[in-house]
Amino acid sequence: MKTSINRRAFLKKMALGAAAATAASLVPGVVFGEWRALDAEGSDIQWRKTPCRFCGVGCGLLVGLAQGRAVAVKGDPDSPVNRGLCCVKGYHSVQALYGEDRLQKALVRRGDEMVEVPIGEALDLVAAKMRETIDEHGKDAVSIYGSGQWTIPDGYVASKLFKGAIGTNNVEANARLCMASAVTGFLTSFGLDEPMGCYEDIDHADIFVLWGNNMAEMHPVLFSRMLDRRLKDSQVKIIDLGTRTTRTSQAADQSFLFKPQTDLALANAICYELLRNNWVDWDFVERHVAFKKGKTDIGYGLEEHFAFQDKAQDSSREEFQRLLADYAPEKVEALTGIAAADIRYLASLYGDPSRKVMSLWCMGMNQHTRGTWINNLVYNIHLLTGKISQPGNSPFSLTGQPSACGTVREVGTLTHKLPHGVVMNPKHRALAAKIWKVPEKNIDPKPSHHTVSMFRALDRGDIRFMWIQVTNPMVTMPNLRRYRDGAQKEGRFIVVSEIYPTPTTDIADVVLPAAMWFEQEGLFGNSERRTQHFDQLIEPPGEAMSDTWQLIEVARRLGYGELFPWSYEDHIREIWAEYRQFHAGAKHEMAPYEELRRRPGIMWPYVEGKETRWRYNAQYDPAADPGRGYDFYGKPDHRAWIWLRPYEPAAESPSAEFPFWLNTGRVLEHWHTGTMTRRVPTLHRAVPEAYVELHPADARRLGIAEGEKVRLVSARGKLELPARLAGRGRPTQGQVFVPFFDEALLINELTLDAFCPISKQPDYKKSAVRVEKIWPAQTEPAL
Amino acid sequence: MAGTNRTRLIAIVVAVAVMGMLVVVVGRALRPSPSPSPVPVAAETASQGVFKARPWRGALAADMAPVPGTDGRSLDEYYALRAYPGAPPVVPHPVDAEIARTQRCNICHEQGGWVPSLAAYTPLTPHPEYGNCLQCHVLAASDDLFVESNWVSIRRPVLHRPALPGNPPPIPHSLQLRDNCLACHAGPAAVEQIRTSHPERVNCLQCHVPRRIQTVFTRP
Repeated sequence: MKTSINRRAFLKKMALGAAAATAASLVPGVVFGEWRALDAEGSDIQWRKTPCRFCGVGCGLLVGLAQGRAVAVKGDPDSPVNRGLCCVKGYHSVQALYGEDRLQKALVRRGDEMVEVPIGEALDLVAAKMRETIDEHGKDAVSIYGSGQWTIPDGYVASKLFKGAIGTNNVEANARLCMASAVTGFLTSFGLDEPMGCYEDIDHADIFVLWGNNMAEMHPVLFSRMLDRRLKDSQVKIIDLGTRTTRTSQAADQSFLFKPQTDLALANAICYELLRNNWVDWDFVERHVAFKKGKTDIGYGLEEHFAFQDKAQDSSREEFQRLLADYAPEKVEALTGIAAADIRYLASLYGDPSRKVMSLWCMGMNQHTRGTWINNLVYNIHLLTGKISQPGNSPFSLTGQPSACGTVREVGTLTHKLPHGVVMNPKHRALAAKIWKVPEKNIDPKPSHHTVSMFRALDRGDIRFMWIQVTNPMVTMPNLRRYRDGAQKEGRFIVVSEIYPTPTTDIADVVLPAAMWFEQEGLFGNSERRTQHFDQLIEPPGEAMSDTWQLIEVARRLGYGELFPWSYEDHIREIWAEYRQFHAGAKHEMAPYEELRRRPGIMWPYVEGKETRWRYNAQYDPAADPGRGYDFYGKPDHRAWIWLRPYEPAAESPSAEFPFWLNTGRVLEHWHTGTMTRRVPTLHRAVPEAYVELHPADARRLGIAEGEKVRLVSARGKLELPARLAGRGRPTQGQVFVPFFDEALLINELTLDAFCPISKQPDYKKSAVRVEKIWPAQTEPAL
Repeated sequence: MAGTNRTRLIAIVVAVAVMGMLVVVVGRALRPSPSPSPVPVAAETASQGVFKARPWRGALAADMAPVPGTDGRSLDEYYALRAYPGAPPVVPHPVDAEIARTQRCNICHEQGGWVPSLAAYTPLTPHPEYGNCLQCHVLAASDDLFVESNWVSIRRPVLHRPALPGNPPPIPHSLQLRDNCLACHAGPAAVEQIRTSHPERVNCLQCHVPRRIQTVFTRP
């Protein structure tokens, strides 16, 4: 009765025109306020193309410009990636430029205070401090830490300055935390990085197997493309393999929950079944595959000066079969938590020669202390069945950043990498020296520090100067407290190029205001080898300057001006022309600048005006030997390698003291540490703070109600945050999930800095915690 | 003494003025304006839904007028859910946790109809073929801001602006994902000011054409 009165009151208020107040009280969270409007309307807008600023899918956007501002967004119907559809982050992306606290001036630390200075003065100080550090402590005391959001020119100039001019391999990027295992997976299995297939595989595949990949939230546009494929063909199935129930699980035809870390055993069990049922394409295996084994019991990287080098040894089909004998479905049922019948069902999907299978994954497999191994194992399945390098048959590694592929992987902004090849290889060093016009001896043949090691070196004092661009390590580093304390020690100098204040600018000695996205000209490279150019469309605010240009300004102050001779007007075109030389040839040819500028992205290898959609298949790939049919030319034997990799446990598993698995990740609305998305009103209002997802049965046992604040404790730290029992995701019993975007609730103070010994990528998905109910002080039970 | 001070003051003023001019002039040269020749883009897809007589499950609702006393949404409410004209709206009503998890929004938003608990007619989606609804339409959990925003967009479209009196008005918005005109312009959930008087004439683009630019034709 009462509610019907409310309804009547509601209608009456509507009639009175007070709808705003009513709806706001009806639904907390909806503010009926309007945007402030320019004196312009829809037909005044000029639409310009750009790739999206957020994830690695690389949607084409059209940004609406009016009076020098970005005012609206549409999906680019011409983009083959998204065909006009975006997600909520893309549609609201341009609002991320306009947060009120945008950094517009350089800041320099004077005691406890940050003082505004002209940007030229700040750049002078950065250069002087670099010079001083090199003189006093050597070239390996300076470092740069960038990201997969660096544009291609940003990363290229950083690599050239540090590796080519200064001569240190202290160049890393946050992509180490995000897809290093994907890279080592590709390199160990195929000898060349990045997927053989492309997004078009989605339109051809019959079965989609998602390995620990919540695509509905993390790669929503590709997920919609997959749903569209299923809508058109009722035979199409989506299989979700994960450790928690997500929106993806809900939309999938089947969802199988395995215990953390046991994906290794599951993949081997699938291979066991493929062999047992003779679902193997032996002709393909004999002609195109070699069997290899590496070291086992390889550790977790927790020791201070941990070093590991894997060694490939020849193996055989027989030895592979002997290894798999331990992974019969019945034997791994208890370990994985997946019924033997279900494992057999999964194998039958991969094994059915009439069905095309696409496997997709991202952080679940990459942020894994055996990340390289699990990447290898999924390739094993595709290689055994010959389901690779064909339309719809595609193991596909997704990425999370707009240019993780384009910049970090292709330009090679990692300690061991060069734009072509690795620093250890004298031929690769010679090529880099020639194109960079530096003496060959400048390029150090020894890799220095991967990311975790670099922050440990900063803590120890081996590194004294660090320049951080487009990333927020004081939120994202695992075991965060150690690295934050280390960065703030006496005698450390931290420069941060940013667009907004963050926990990382909080510890900086110099903050340089950065231009964002299309406030500069640049290029990104997405997950499917697609390079995407964007023009400068608007002016950056205040004295903000692109990361590329900041690096060039400092390089000139250090006396390396002749290596960076470009004018502002043409520097992106000139950098592209120089960088392209590294990739010349049918295996990696990049499109020319003018073509890239005109089109919404072009895939490499781009040979004689044609994109290569499926690599290693001579039907599509001009670099493959037609006589072989399939030619895995990344390896000297022209074969793809099946690796014998066992199951090994996680670095840290639940114990009596810390009985829960802690899993961390993202949510749809927020991207990484929320520096951008939290300043977008719609996105912040949708998910205003972090929380901990608990299984309702665990919550009941602990006496925890929805929304109640609980305490998580790990061996490294503790954190109080609200419990979510009926949220969008549901962990299995004995597991909790926390998103990492919230700088006020730093979950990485609890995570463990264990990493894959091969890829050096930390595992953010598995550490052990305790969940404590917080008793009000007066009712605390007396002991 | 006073003279020296004045000379010094003048010198300082002149120096500051010169520096200011340098900042303006040289500063501009250092950071040139955006690229002079914009790359042309196809800002619209061919419209699918208007000609194609696809089975429209909301057809019944389209013919319906609201019951008197149950006014539909106002334009203010319509735009208040959007960050700019054409942005995907946020979900303005509470959503059952189970519906949110399974994203079965189309149970209501494909068919339409009266919802007693919200005392409102259900707006129809112009694109029911998309199933990952919360990809674009998010639920609001708070009305706070992390920091204030300086966001500015364009005006909402001016309605009913025929070229000549009595002419059919042009379409003031993009048709991308909104190419099923009846979803928003017909039926009891349609905003009154944009509700068509003739939903039976399905070939909308025959008379109403998109208005995309301000300028008039000039020979190249």
